[in-house]
This record gives sequence, structure tokens and C-alpha cells, in this order.
Amino acid sequence: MNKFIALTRIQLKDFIGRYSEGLGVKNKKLASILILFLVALIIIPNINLSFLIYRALARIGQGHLLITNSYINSILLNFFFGIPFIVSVFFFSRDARFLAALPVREDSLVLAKLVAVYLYLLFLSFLLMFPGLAVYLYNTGMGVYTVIMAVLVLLLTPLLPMFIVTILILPFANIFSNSRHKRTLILIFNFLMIFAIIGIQLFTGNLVENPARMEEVLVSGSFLELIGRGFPPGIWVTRIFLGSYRDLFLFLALNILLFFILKGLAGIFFRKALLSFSEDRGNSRGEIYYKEKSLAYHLLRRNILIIIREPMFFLNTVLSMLAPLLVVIIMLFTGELSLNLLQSPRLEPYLLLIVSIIMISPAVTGNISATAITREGKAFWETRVLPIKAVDNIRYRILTTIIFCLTGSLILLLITLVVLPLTLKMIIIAATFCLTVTLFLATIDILIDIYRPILNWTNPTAAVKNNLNVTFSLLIRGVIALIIYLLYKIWPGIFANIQWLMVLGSIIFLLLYLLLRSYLYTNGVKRFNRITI
Amino acid sequence: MVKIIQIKGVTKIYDDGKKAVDNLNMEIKKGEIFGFLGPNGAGKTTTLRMITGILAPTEGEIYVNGYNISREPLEAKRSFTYVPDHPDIFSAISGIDYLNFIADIYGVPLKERKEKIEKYARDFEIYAALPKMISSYSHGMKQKLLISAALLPEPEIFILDEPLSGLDPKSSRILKEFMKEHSKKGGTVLFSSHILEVVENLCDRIGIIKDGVLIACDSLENLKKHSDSSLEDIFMELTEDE
Repeated sequence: MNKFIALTRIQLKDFIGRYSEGLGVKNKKLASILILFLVALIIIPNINLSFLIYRALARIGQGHLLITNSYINSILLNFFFGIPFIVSVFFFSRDARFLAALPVREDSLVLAKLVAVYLYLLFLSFLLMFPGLAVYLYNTGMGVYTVIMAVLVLLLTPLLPMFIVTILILPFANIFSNSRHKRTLILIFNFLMIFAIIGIQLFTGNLVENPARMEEVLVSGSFLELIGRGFPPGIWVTRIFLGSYRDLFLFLALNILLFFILKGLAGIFFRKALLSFSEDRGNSRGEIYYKEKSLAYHLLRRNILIIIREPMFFLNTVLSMLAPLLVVIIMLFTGELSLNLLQSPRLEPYLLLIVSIIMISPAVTGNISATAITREGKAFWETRVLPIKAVDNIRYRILTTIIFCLTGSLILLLITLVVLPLTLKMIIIAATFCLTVTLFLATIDILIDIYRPILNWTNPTAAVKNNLNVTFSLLIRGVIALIIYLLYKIWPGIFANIQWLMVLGSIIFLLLYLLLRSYLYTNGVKRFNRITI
Repeated sequence: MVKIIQIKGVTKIYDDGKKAVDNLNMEIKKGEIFGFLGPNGAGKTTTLRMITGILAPTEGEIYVNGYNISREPLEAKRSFTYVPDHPDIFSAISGIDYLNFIADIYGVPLKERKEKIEKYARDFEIYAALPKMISSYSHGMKQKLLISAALLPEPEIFILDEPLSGLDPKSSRILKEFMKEHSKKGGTVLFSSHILEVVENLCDRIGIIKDGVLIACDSLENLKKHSDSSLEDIFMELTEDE
């Protein structure tokens, strides 16, 4: 047992360390405040939403369905987040070889790793379920029984998705052991995850905005039965709060059973996942060749490959750039948006504005430059020690961002062209605006990374996701949006002529870019040369 | 003899306040093999990183081939190649991609690079692995790739941090031969090592650093002048805590 505790402790320290590392904040107090702030940022709107859902459901006497909704949302989120996390913990784990050699039982090793997965999923469940449970208890009264049940349900929620994901992943173990397949599968699972998140948000939003639709489903047949037939734990959890001991027993029995099945599967998981990691031999990528290429080619290729070959970087880049497109596609699927609405003549005066916003979205949401140096991690020493000018080193990182962003903009423009009746003039104006915005944002973002690069990361997620550089970068965008909004409020006249506005915007962003560029290639270069590895 | 590396009053204090190197003064002459010794955490890697421009000194100046590494980094860097203690390299490319990259950066002509890559890769027995992704290489293979890449441009100065760690006996021997050959041709080799026997047999001069302070810097003969002890004894005596 002591060995298991020691193993679990190490896994948890590693797990927490990875996230703290990503924040890049050395001050522990500041890091804690930041985490609490981020948690509050997610929970507060969720509490608000839960109140709205509860009110909508309570009107038809079905307030307890808030529990069902929160539970199912949590299960879905845990499921889709669990897949990449379990894959990364077992198939990308750098400690696999070290752990496999320890004189510890196989199931202890696997269970210690699953504890880290459990805590991660518990945290996610907390973000989604706590608001629902709290609002329900607030409205129905907090008895000792309901509070205990709320804690119990919250603690047990991650077990079911963890079990399902584990079972689902096992058959793919052989595929995962090949590094190329690993990347592809991680990408697919992450895309599914994003679809699930956006889907949940739209589903919940729809529920709040249109309680009548919900009422129809609820009145026509029992909604609980509907869910229960497809997913019985959903109905058990809800009925627990209505005082059903039978459902409490069923829910507990299921989770105990799942725990023992997971424990039983630990051996297979150990051999198929942890050990298969060591069997990856890498693939031959062609012939031995001798070719002369330019510095520009090498540096651009290097920076592009850093993004493409690391699934987390690639996914982060593509998803953040094309997130608006994903939202539109899902909204079209769910009927929130229709082609008729997009092609409506009422939109005609705003077409230039719409296409301009669509085209700049990769640069606005992408913030690739904000982690351009950070992404290189410990390999950054190479470009520092080689006789390469700092100016070139920076220039090709910015160019990489511009290539990615403009490719995204071009894809979005082509899709927009199919949907919206755009003129050549509109395209030229929007493209010019997009180019200047992209240049400006790519430059300001790399300055952020020059001033606070995080090179000693061990987990790529830390480099691009929970990285404060990205927060700063988004903050700058927020400030720009606020300035534009204030200008609109103070001086609405300048927004009357959109064409003129876009040209003026292009000139302003071009001037800002030139100013920043001159700062970057003087002070920025000096700072770049002082980056410590 | 021409001083190819000059370290003048160099101090390095890290952000956490730790003084890794304290007022270091050292000169390395052209054509010599210089061994840099010291216990773990003595400041060897920090010193080598400052010489190569990876780290900026807090105080003092470093000249490589007459160029100040902080003020004229490009000119200074053209004079040397470097092999770090940990082979943390960009691993999403193949070995041959990496060697072509280094050859292009240092301007090694096609014919010459083909001959050299074949020679070094075959000597270090990584030729067959060259088309494979670096991420699939073992620690030793990465080390061999880095050494091959560092030898490729035939630099004036060859700087290596713990180059023998992770190398098999055959590759270690080949590397030692390359170092000797390089020195014979007038090139300079600066390397750190824990293997005293190698340093004893290979180096013209030795520097011993402890707690960031250079406590000895001379030829082995001069260090041994006052006793018949081995380098190991001298090292132990000098680095022993009082």
C-alpha cells in the first residue's frame, strides 16, 4: 500500500507540476490566485446558466432535471477530455520506462496513473456539476442527505467516463504504439472533443433560450425515461436527489463494479499501453540526400515542423484559428444559423464587415507568435549557438505565423465566397485589412514571447495552452476590441461607411505594425539575445 | 601562441541569486586540447554555455577567435561548433535533414558534405539511421549525430560538454582520435569531462573549477610538478572541501 501511495504522490506531483509549469508563474501565491480566478471565470457564468435552466424547468415542475443536465454534460465532457488525457498519460508518458522497471505490482502502477486521470476529470466535473448541484440545493433546500449525495455524486462522476474511455482505448493500443498513428488519433479525438464542447454549449444555450421546445419533449413523454433508456446512470443520479435509495444503491453498485473491472484490466493496460511505448521504433522518412538550401528554407521549415509534427501544437494552432468556422458549422448543423439568413439582402450592407471579421479571425484567435519561441523548448539552444542572426531567427518565426494565419484566412475566404455574394472590391479591401491586422498581431505576440519565453517545459500542453503568454495576447485583443467599441459609442459617425472604415483600419494597423517592427528589431533583438535557457 | 578563447573576469549569477561562476579568468590557446574539470555543479556547463553564447555573463567578457561573443555573436559563432551535455535537439526531422541543415548554416559545399557525412556517420555507425526521425534515436545515437554535425564544418574550435557520456567504447575512441587529429591540424578543442583518465591522456592543459571559481589551470606536467600523484589525486586534493 505504501508503494501505491508513493507512486500516486509522484504522479500527482508530476500532474500538478505540469500545469504550474505551463502557467509560467514562479510566485506560488500568484499562481494560486490565477488558478482561482480562472476557475471563477468558468464557474460564475455556469451558476448563472444553471439558475436560468432551473427556472425554465421548475416552471413545468421538473426542476430536478437540472441534475440530469449537469450530470450528462459532465459525463460527456469527461468522456471527450478523458480520451486525450488517458492517451497522453499512458501512451506518451515519459516515465513509462522508469516505472516499468520498478518492483511494483502492475495494477498499482496503472491505478496510480488513473488517480491523476481521476483528479483531472474530477476537476472538470466540479466546473460543470458544482454549479448545477449548488443551484439545485439552493432552490430545494440543503438537507444533510442531499448535501452528502451531492458530494458523493460529484466524487463518483469521473469513474464512469474513465471506465468507458479505458475500454474504448484498449483495442487501439497497437495503433497508438506507432508514433504516426498516435498523432492522428490524438488529433481526431481532440476534434471530437471540441465538437462536444461546442455542442454542449449550444444545447444548453438552446434550452435556456427556448424552454418551450424543452417543455414539448418533457410533456410528450417522460424526459427522464428518454434519458434513462439510453443512459440509466443519468436517471439514477437524478432520482437519488428525489430520495430514491434503490437508485442510490444502483449508482454505488455500478461504480464499485467499475472500479474492480478497472483494477482487473490494469494488467492488460500495463502491457498494452505502458510497455508498448518502448516498442516504438520510428519510421524511416526517405533516402539519404545531399542538397543545399537557404537559411530561410531551413528556419521556416523548422518553425513550421515544430507546429505540424507536435499534435498538441498543431491542434492548438488549427483549432484556435478555425474555431469561428467550427462554431458556424455546428450552428448550421443545429439549425441556429441557416444559409437563407446568411444570404438575406438585409446583410448586404455589412458584407464587407462580415468578410473582414471572418478573414482576420485566424490572426485574432490564433496567437501563434505568442508561443513561437516557447514552442521550441529545450531545443532553442541550437538556433542560439549556430551563426544565425537574431533578426533572422525572429523574422522567420513571425513569417511562420503569417503563413499559418493567411492560409487560414484564405480557407475561410473561399468558404465565405460560396456562401456570401462578395465583390472583387470587397475581397481586396478585406484582404488588405486582414494582412495588416495579421502583421500587427504576429509582431506584438512575438514581443510577448521574447519578454517571457518558457523553454523548460516537459509537456507540450504547458507550452501552448495554459501559458500566460496566450492570456496576455488575448488581453491585447480585448483592449483593441474595447477601444473600437468606445470609438463606436463616442463617434458612431465613423462606422457609417464600412468601406472607409476598413481602409482607415488598414492604415492604422499598418502604422502600428511599422512602429512595433522598428521596436522589435532594435530592443526586441537585444532582449532576444539575452534569453536564458 | 595565439589565444583563441579569452575569458575575462566572467561572473554568472542566475535569477535565483545562485552564483554559478565567480570572476573567471581563463585563456585557451590555438591548437591545444583543453580539458575542463570540476565536480557536479561546479560551473563547467555554465562556463561552456557562456562561451558559446547560449548564456549571457552577468559580468565580464568572453572573446572567441578575437570576437566578443556578446557584441559580435555571429562572427564568434562562425569559429566554433558545440556539442551540449544533453542532446536536446529538434527531433521532428530526420538525421540527414539535421546534417544538411548544419552544413548549410556553415556553408559546407555539396561534395565536401557528402564525403564528410558518409565518413562520420559510418565511423559512428549511424549511417543507416540517417533517414529516420531523430525522435526515434537513442541517447547515444543523438550524441553521435550531434558530434558528426559538429565535425562537419571543420571549425577552428570544437567545444564539447561531457562528450563521452552515452558513447560506446568504439565511438569514444573515434571521437578521441578526431580530437587529436583536429589539434594536430591547428584546431582547438575545449571539452569538459568527468573521465579523468581521458583528460589525462588527451589534454595539453587542464582547468579545474570548483564552486564557480577556477582553482587550477595548467599543463598536467606543471600540475604534477610538486608531487608524483595522478590527476585523480590532484583533482581530489584540489576539490576536497576544507
